[in-house]
Amino acid sequence: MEKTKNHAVWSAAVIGLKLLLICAIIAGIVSFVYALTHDTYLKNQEGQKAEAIGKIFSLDAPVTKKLAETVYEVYSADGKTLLGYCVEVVESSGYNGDITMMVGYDTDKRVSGVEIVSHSETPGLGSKVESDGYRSQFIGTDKELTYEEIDGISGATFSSKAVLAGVNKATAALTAALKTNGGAN
Amino acid sequence: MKGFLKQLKEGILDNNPVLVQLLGMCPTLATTTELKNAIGMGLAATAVLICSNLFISLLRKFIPQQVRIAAYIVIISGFVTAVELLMQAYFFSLYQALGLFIPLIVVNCIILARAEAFASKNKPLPSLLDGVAMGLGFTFALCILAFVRELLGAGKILGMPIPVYSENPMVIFILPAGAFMTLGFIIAVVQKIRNSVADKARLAEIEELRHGHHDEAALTEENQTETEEVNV
Repeated sequence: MEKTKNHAVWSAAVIGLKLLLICAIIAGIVSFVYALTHDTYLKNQEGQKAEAIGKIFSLDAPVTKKLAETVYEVYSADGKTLLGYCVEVVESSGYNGDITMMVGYDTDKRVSGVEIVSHSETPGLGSKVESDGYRSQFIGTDKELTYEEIDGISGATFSSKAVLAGVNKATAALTAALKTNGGAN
Repeated sequence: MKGFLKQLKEGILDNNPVLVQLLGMCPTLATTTELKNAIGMGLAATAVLICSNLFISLLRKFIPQQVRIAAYIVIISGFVTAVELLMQAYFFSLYQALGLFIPLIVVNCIILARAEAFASKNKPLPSLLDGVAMGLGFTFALCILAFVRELLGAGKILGMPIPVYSENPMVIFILPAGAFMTLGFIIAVVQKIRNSVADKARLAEIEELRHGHHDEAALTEENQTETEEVNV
């Protein structure tokens, strides 16, 4: 009786140890791949944001200085002239997840451009928020807008509202940052 | 080589994981709004399937029966994580396009089903080839569905709009309802082809049997007359 009980405990232990070994090997493989790829991944993310800022300000290599969390001053390539500001927004009310965007402002604190950095909206519908027609509506505004004041995309209300909310949040963030930090102006 | 070609044909046509076995429907419906995404998803899942089939087959005598599902999940999720990390680094825009569906490859029924039904019972090389065959079958099914949906629902092929139609396409095809409808039609077509192939094979069999019976009947008649003569 005693022998069978011990045997049962031992076989259970062996099963557990085997599973542990498999998990350890897999964890090792995943860690290895992580170490291999993590830096490139971070570079990809930074590169995308820089590309978005570059598109808004029509510059290859804008120089940015952090004004507050997610709010940046944008300078010309030589770092001397203040061209405007950009605010990074991650809007979570998208139809299919987060919409990351970069909102650019000129020195008068008016929106000079909206770039959608990444999204997972429905291709062909919600993805139309990336279109020039939709994004250019925000250019020139310096206050928060309501949904009635813009033309949403028919069939993609959630996506349209999400981008609008993102732009409004960016404007609010810029105003707050300038109040507390003063900035170059 | 011949065996592999047979496996390949099975994976892509006769026993296609999506169109015949009806596995992995969720990513099939969700990632086929654009052909580009479908190809990416198919190849990512194929990579995971090949790696997991190979690994599980190599360990098939080591993994205890009582915890085999847990072991399979650990192995599959490990490889999915590795594929995701590699995509983040080297295929960044595809990674963003596929988003949530990359981690969902872990619970793609196809991978777990092949692990349990094939890889755990076969040697490494056939298991690896099974991964290739089933993975290509999955990719094939995704591509057909995505091609139709992108063409009819957005008027584009691989992102390139076609002249008149793309201004006002039938949007329903890139919505979930259209996904189900299109998939249903494709499965119906596949079943029709399979049935007609099976029917032809069965008809040929019946023909053969009938010829066989005629010869048999002729022989039995001869035998009967002989026996009668003897009896008399």
